[in-house]
Amino acid sequence: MKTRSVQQVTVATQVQMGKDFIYQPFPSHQLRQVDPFILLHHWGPYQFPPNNDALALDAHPHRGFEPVTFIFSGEVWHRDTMGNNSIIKDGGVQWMTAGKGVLHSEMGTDEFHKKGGTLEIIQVWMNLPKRLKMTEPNYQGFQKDSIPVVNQDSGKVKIAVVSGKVDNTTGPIKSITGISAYTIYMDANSKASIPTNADKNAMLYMLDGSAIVNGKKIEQGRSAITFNNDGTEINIEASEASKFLYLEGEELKEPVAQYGPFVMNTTEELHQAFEDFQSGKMGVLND
Amino acid sequence: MKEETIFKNIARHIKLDEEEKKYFQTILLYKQLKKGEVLLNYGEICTHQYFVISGCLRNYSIDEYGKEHIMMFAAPDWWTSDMYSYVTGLPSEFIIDALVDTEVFEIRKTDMDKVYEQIPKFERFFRILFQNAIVNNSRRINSSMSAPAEDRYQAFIKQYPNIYQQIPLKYIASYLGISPEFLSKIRNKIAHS
Repeated sequence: MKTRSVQQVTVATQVQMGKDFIYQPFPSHQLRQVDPFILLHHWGPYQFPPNNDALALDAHPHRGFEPVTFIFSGEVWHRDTMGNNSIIKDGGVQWMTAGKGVLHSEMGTDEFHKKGGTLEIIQVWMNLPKRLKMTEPNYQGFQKDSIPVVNQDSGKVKIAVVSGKVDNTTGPIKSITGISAYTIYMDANSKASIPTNADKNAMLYMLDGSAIVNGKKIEQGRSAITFNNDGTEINIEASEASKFLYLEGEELKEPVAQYGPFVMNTTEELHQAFEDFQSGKMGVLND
Repeated sequence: MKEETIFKNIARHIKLDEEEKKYFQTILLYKQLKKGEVLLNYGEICTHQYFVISGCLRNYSIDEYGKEHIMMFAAPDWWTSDMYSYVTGLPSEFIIDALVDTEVFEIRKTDMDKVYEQIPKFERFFRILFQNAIVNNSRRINSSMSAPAEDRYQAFIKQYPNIYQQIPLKYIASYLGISPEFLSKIRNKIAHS
């Protein structure tokens, strides 16, 4: 199998989001997007003491894409205008198809606020093609124990298949655009081999650790690695315990108009999204 | 006469003769906005300066999680615009809308450029305005990084003495970069001290 050559390594920059500092490898000056992935926000790891007020993203709208949250540590309480009310803990995923418009809130849980702990999450915005931007909204929440794991290198590598297929293992998420998403946990001095589709765009984000990816040394955590479309395998050699998120999706090659919480194809569609939100067409989510 | 408000504002820094006033009056575009009406939307190119006759405008952006960040309020007798878009000709990243029913004068950039040629003392007028804006902005940035929220709220009251009671609490909190609940606590503390 031919390995995919590394196109670029982008270290995340720190961005202030309200009172929190988060890490954002893209969009950035160096990396606009990894079509169809348009934004990656890495929160934490933050250590919260007991009686904290961790994570307070009150009710807000989205349209035209899928905000997906991977919880690496801690827990996130999701509520939305479809009636979902779901707490997902570490190792789980909250995959929301915003489609034609939905309001949701993402908050720390009462238990986490009371007891404290470590919070580390990644939110990725997965774009929807023009034909699906106004699709019906949907929410899929899965805990760690519902996400199958593929072991490699005698169990020193664990690939949790959230969406898509690795060998004969299929993830529980039903992606309407054929996205593959895996979280990868590697022990020190271990080797992983990730099968990849050369026709699709792929991105590997190293949260922490130290590794060589297809021959390229990744010097520091919070790095996004993008690949050329020239191979069917990604090899990772971890010299330290390392954590990754792997994403793969079909390039949309469509104009992206993004402002605030909406991602459409044109500015006019963005203005329409705001109007629809303000007039209550996306629903109301009470505290 | 509505024009009197803007001439009074201009007279603080430069003296216009009757002919100059007459000329300046020809480029003023009067506009009424209903509460919530958008004057400049994100993605649009800002081609005007705005002078507020009555009411109140807010200039804000929205982040990825739907949170509004208010950059400034423009009360009566204030000038506002999105200078980034106005100067570069690039799409605006901000929204300017009316917090209450509002009256403004708009001046087109092309007309303003002609005014600078025809009545050069307007260069002085806007130099002073922009100087003041730079001073205010740098003070606001500095205090947002270092001053306690209570001090920032007191500074806000000083800066907007005539309108702060009309602006909903959540918008003032957004301007100060704090939660509405925290602003309520500050207000209560001030009221009882």
